[in-house]
Amino acid sequence: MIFNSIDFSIFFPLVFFLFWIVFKNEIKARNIFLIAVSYFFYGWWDWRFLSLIVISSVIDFIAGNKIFEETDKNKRKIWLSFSLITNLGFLGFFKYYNFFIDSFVDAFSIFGQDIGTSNLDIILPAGISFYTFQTLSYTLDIYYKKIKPTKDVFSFFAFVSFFPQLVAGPIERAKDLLPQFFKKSEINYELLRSGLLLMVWGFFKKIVIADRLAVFVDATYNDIEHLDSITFCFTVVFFAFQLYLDFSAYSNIAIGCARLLGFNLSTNFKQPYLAKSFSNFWQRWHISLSSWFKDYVYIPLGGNKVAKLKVTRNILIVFVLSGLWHGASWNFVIWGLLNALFILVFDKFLVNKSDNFLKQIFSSLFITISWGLSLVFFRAKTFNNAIEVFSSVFNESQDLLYTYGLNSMEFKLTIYLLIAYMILEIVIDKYDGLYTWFVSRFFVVRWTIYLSVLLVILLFGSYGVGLNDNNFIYFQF
Amino acid sequence: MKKKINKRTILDTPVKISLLTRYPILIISLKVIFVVAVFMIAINYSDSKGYFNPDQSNNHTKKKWDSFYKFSKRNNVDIVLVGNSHLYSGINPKNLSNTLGVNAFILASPGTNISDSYYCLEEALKVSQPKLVVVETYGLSAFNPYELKEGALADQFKSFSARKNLISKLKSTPSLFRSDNFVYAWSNTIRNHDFIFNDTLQLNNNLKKKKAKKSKKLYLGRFVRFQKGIQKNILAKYDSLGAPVNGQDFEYNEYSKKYLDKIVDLCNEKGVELMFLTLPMFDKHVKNNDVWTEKMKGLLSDSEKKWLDMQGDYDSIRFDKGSFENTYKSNQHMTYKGSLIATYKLAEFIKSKVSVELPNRKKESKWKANFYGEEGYFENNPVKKSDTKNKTISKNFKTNNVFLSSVSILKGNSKKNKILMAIIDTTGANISKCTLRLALSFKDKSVLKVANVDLKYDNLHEIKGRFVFKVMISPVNVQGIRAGVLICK
Repeated sequence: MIFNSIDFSIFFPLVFFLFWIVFKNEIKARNIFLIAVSYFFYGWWDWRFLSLIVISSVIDFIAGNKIFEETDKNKRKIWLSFSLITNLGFLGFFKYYNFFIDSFVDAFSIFGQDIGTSNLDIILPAGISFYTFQTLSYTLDIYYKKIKPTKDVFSFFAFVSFFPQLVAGPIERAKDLLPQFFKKSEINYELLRSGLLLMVWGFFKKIVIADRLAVFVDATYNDIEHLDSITFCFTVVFFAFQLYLDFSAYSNIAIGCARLLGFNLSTNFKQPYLAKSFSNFWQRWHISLSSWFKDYVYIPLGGNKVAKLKVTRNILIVFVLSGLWHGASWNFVIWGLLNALFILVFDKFLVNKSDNFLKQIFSSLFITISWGLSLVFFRAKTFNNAIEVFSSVFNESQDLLYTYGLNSMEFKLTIYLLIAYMILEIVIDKYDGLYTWFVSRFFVVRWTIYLSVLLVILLFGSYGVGLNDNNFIYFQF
Repeated sequence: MKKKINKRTILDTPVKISLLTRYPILIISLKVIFVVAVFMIAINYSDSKGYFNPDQSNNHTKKKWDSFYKFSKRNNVDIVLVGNSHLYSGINPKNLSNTLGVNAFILASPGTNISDSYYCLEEALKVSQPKLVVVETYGLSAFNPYELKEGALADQFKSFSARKNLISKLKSTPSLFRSDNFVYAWSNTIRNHDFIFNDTLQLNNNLKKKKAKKSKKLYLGRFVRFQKGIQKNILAKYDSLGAPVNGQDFEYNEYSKKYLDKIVDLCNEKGVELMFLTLPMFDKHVKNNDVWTEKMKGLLSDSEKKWLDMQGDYDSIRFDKGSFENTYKSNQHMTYKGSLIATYKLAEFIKSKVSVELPNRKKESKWKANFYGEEGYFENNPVKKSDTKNKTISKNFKTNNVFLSSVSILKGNSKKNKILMAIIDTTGANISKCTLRLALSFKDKSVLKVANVDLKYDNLHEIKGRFVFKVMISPVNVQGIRAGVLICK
């Protein structure tokens, strides 16, 4: 089930009322209810893959307790390995099987050997990378003695499958989310209101801006052989914003949804396109994943407290893995490597706290454009496609800009929306209390804004019969 | 900025805190319900005003439902025909009504399948009590209502929008549309909100209320787009490429079977006779039709209903290249000419093969008021004595080798011409290849004169036992007929 669907608009209000009216006082019943609705939410897409979530949950519940109970280091390692191998095994099979087979065949074909292996028709279970990393963090944290395991099987299952963040994050840590399943949900008007507003804001970003950008970007990537230099520039910029707005919209809706059920999820984005350096960018972009790689890969490898060469190695490893986490193709590996190189090469010139506002803006622009260029590998289907897109920068302009799904009026509106959005980001970045300030305005002002935003979604949203493929981009990971 | 926040927070606190902390769920729910209600009212208002309606000037689907409800208020529809574009361009309900003396109505929508036919029929049966339902079989192919392509989905929206019974529409929504299309099915405002960018002209016209004028003419659901028959270029394609439609490709699936069964059950439940009709395409347009016929027989046999298959029993004498749309596409419709031939074939089939007692309304004043002078009326019914524009000049006149049932002078398509029509009622003779020569007496400047006029056989209005002959003449003052003779080759 996706958030921007009629199914969800029926599902969620039902869950909301049942949750608060029937189940709020009994923790165990509430958690069972959450598991049931989360499985329903996931099973709506494909019920067969529910078994993977159940197996992962069972294994990590057992493994977590065993790691904690065992005093023998080797046995603890065995139980951790069991959890890692099973979870990463599922991920490896469903996500990377064909990739490794293809790469294997390609490698042999370089030497003139044609080995006859065949690909399997494997469907990638939605959200497998997200819930696998979430549940892995649980066993790893127990192994590193950061947390104690839970004996409450229902709380743990609810933690793994909590539907607002099951399919595309934020990837929560057990220490933050799991304890929330142990206690009664507190009703708090402010939490409910902020949750609702976050959801509306997420829908606005997704439907009005991101999906409109998608029309243009999808059209240009389907016609890469005819792109000209101007179209190339807009494609790069538009996709950078599409990805950000699409994914951050999902996070907003997920966090909003969770708040409406009395749960707090972690922030996933903090104005990444205002980053002052590339490493700062990764502290603002998909924070739950970046911090996962930092905590479970980068720091165990030594982090930046080792020799410079090893730091470089660590950064490269983290970004290659991050690339592969996103997708099983060499394009994602290149995308990861490029971002590692950005940090290694450019950050020494960019990180300077005393820089003035203009320099900061320049840095942010440079970072955003570099990031946008790297995303060509992220978006293009193959390496050759990506190269073809890059080569279009040399093609003369042919006035094709308005032929890619957005007419001139819609195109201009998109540009205005992006400018307005970035101004808002700057304001949010500068003033922490913007939300508090807004909700304390006179109700006429607030309600005018609420209704206007909803009206804009209704009338200016990019949705419709011909645009039914409105999935969130990160669903594919 | 901080000071302001504190001030307002303090001012608002006493009232807000108590209500919001006590009933947060209720307050937030009421607010959401309020917003949803505001938007639903606004959308409903916009829908009712038609601000986001597509161009309605050519929306015959809406026109036929409007007309069906209007017609059913004062009349009972005796024959309901359901199907898609093949039906409304292949059958002429006025001619069918005039031939049989009934009220026949076509409720067909372009591009739709048997599922749509079922719900159209279900709604129609709530308004009228027909004796006979005719289902055209083109919509019985394999389809999935939840996986319609954009064009077919747009057609389904159009048909759904045109229907009027809210409960019936509500019930049929989950069967006709995938859940992500529910809202689009119900609201033109939401479905066509992109007019703001993509069709500002239509939006402006809608806002300025430039609406198409409502016609007062009797409308029974026919819509023929094609006048010109198959041309040389398409005939050449048949020779070089063969037939574009292959009976072997025909498949039906669980959806077609399910809705077919539902139609049969519905008709049984309501005590309505049901028959199936297959309208033809040009014979060179279809190959392996026998395979199609066998598969269709398999599908229809369970229902044990009558089936008129004009493709299987293709009448190569009467259906010619002028009877079909000039296209090589798989979806070949009938022309006006073809539709008349098919209509009289259907009328004959209903008369002779379908065991249903249809009312004969030819003597009912209400029926006459509806149909008098409409298409096919004079070919099948007498001219009124009080009619000043049309008149019968001779009745039951035996002359030479022919017995003339009636000879009439009818209003032409302009002031410069009139139609001379003679009807011969006879059985057992094939006079369709003959010419009827009549000696007409007429007054020219007070002088009585006589002239011979040759009338050609009109094969478009052919029905067993009755032959129509016609010719266009100048608007002279005809006095009567002196003599007549059939000249056969």
